[in-house]
Amino acid sequence: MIGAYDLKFRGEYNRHAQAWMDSVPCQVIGSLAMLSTEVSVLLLTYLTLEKYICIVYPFRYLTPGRRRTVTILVVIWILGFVIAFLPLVCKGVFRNFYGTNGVCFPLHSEQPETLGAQIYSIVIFLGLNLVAFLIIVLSYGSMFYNIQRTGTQTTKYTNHIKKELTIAKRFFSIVITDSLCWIPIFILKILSLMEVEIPARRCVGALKAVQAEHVAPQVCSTRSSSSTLSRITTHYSVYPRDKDPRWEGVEMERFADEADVVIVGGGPAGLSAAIRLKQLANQHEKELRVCVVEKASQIGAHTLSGACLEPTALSELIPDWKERGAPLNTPVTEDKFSILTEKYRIPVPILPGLPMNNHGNYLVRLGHFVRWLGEQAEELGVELYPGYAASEVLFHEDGSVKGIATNDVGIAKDGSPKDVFERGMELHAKVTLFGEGCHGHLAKQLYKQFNLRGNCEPQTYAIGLKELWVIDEKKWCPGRTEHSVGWPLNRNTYGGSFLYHLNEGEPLVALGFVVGLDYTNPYLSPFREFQRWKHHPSIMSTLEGGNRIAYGARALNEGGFQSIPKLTFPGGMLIGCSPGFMNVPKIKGTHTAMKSGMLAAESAFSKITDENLQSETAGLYIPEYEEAFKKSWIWKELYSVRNIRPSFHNYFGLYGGMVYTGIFYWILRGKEPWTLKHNGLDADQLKPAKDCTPIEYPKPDGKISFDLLSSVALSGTNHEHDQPPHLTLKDDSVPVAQNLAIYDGPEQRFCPAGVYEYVPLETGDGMRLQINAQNCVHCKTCDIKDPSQNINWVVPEGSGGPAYNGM
Amino acid sequence: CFAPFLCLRPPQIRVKPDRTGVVTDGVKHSMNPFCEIAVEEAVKLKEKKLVKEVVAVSCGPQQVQETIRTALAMGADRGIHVEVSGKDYETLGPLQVSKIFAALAKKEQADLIILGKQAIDDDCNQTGQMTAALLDWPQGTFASEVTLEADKLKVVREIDGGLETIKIKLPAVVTADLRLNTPRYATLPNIMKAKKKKIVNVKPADLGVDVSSRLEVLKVDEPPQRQSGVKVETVHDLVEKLKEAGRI
Repeated sequence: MIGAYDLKFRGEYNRHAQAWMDSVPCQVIGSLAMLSTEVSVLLLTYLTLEKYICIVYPFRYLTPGRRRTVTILVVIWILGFVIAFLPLVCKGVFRNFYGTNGVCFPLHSEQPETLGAQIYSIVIFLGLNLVAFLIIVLSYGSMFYNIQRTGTQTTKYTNHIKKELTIAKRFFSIVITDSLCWIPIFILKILSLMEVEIPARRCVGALKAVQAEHVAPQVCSTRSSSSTLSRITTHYSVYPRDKDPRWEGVEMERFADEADVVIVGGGPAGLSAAIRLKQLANQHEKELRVCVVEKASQIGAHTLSGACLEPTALSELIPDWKERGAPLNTPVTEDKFSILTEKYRIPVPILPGLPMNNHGNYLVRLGHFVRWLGEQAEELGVELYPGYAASEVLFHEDGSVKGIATNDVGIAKDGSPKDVFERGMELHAKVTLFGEGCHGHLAKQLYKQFNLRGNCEPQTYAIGLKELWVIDEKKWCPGRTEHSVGWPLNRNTYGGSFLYHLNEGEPLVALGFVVGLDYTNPYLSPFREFQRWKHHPSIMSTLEGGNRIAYGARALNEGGFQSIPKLTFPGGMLIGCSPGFMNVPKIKGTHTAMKSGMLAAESAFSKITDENLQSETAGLYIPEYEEAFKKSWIWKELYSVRNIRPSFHNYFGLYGGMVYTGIFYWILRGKEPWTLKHNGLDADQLKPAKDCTPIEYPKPDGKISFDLLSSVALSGTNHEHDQPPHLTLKDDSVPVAQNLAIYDGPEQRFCPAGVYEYVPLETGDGMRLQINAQNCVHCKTCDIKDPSQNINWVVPEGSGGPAYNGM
Repeated sequence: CFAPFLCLRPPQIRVKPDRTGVVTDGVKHSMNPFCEIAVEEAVKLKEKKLVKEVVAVSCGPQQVQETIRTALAMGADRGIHVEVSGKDYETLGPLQVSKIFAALAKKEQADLIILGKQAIDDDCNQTGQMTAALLDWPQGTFASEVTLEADKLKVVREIDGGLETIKIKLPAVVTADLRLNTPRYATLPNIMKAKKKKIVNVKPADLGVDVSSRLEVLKVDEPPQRQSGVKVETVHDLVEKLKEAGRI
């Protein structure tokens, strides 16, 4: 039965935990388990005693009477029923005796609900069962002693004893199983009585009892949970509020509003879609309500990119962008590409036609560009709502997407409602566009809901870290772009750097470092690789005497062509970096993101405004977007570079990849008839820490390189402190039991904001995970790279997160 | 009722190269937390039907309209944006703001002005007091509880080591302290509704106020960088180090 429910709740057990533990099936399963356990224990004891008497005192009680046996059996069964069903009858004393853990076994290793239940549990497990166990062990010990002694002396009754002996042997196996089953339970019970913290939440006790003779099956799967550990995750996405007594009587009704199109995410893709929709509406003189929700406190404040912008899509969307004052202030004038070794810089010529060529592109502060796009959108009549995060996808009854709901606010850290609690708002639309950026948390649900990733490879990612510096004016060459690969990463770790000299009124440079998240060494720290890289002679010379003014980080897509999911589904579409249109060798995705938004807008507009349209689903299904996408230049562009990133998966790593690019991209233009595969999920790539060498990083000097916390401060990130951590764990025990035990806590190193910290337990033995959620810069790396895929990033209270100023 | 407030600059600040102030370009301006409390208190009075109308006022460049919008979403009825920009905005201090508020209070015939006790950027804590002085109205500063009794106002004030309860006559000026209330959220439906509420734009000159400042900022410095510390093993080492540093 547990197995059946396990299948039902698989992967989302935590959401149902409380409901399940309170349910009738759980009570029934618990009492049945208790019944079978206790009856088998008593039967075993009885049989053991009988054999014992038979062997040790063979003459006195040779054949026990049939009637007596039946009586004893009946007594045992009645006793079993009483023990098992007493807690169900006397609810007052025992409360929820069985539903204290997921498998409904009343081990009560955690804090008991009532004293009665605790005493009852102790009497059964430490009284009855321990006594029975001791009887069995002692009897068998004594039997063996006797058999050995008598076996050498007696000739009489030999046959009988032989028969007894085989049975004794068979029973001995039962005793071994019995002790294997019970000793851990006794130890757990005693430990919990002594209030010792039990580290593993799930004792891997799937020991199946051997079924012997007529003894009832003895299941002793002790998935005991120890909630002496205080909860890390308190978020309502893991602990539903409808079963929570603290939420009783709280008004959960939501205000709803209707728009034609709702767009989630005010980035390049979302805003381009909004602008295109309103342009078309104005052109055709149609009324169209377009709403954009954005989790950042203002448009562009969560945007982070290099950024070297290719203006193709922008010129298609707003041809007069120059006149409208788009902040594209720095045309690329100089392009440098190099391979770094620890001391030297080997320049690599950039031939025309290579994807790294940046002629005609602009160096921008993408956050400022996005803010400008927002102004253009508002001017056209788009409703922008920064500071309100979409936290939920809403569905029609037919399964199509109905819209989104914004996040609730005013929830305390422990998950209870505050006095100022306010419910989010529902925004319904004919079609909803999801442009959440790389690894969006709603897109993650949609992939599952509509099986959008059925025909593509898993997405692969990288993390990009970036800083802004004001440097010495003499070293400043506006328009210069520098890219490098190589040091400090080894040849098998994909990654590289950028350094752009911006022309923004002061001697500003944007620099950053990108590391592929398919790296294998859990000791690698992208942040510290970045800090170390700045000490390379060719980089340090630019930075010396300068001042760092900003810091940030964000994950980016690297899967490219192979990893593009299905883009449309009833009621919605995916745009921008959410599905992932990044051109990896070009290290550019803004132009493709914008174009995808425009294509989605164009396809949606004709359908929304078609008055004769008969839609099969309540939310509009627009497969035309996908078709338009396949005919567009994004498709061609991504197809031609599809093999470059995976070509780095070879023994020679970086060098093999560069040779491949030289031959197949530069000469064949990506026309080779094969498509290389990626390595699979980034989360699966880490090797256990014991197989890897720790990396020694130099200490930051406070001038060129810095420590993590002073860096995070420069991201301006902030969250309301008194709210449930938005980095949720599916299971609170996994970090210590798996991530720390096997991978030495890699989240401490891959998080660029110091959110995850393993700290010693207050009791002094062992460690616990501390989540500093207010540091989070919304980069999503943890959700991607967590080797146990136990972290689920959800949106915090709106307007929380980094406060980037033109990153 | 009348709830003027100031705009707040975020923590990620950088001193301008010429050291005359901090860089404010492109950074988000949000409402000062004490002013949020002031707005909340005004809205509460309105909900209790003790006041007829709540007017939200802010002085600053175009962006402060967003902040006024937030106050409208919290429940204020209409907004007044006193436009001060450029050089005037940079030198805008408590005295200039008080003059504007006093002029507006007369013009709007307000009965009660509620302000935050201080802005958390310059920490001046002067505007409320100056406004009361310019209007020659009674003042209840650092309020942690406000009760309206006919034409009198009972104000519980936070003072050193305890609370002081005073009764003042209306019209009056009240400045809000931290414990007065917990401000509500500006929810999305209310933000949508607030878009329909009116914000009137006025210039200080329309009110007959001269906003020129008599103060000159000599320089603004970044706080000194904290020196990294050292760990010592024993008390002896500690004493040695302190002697070396000439502290003992």
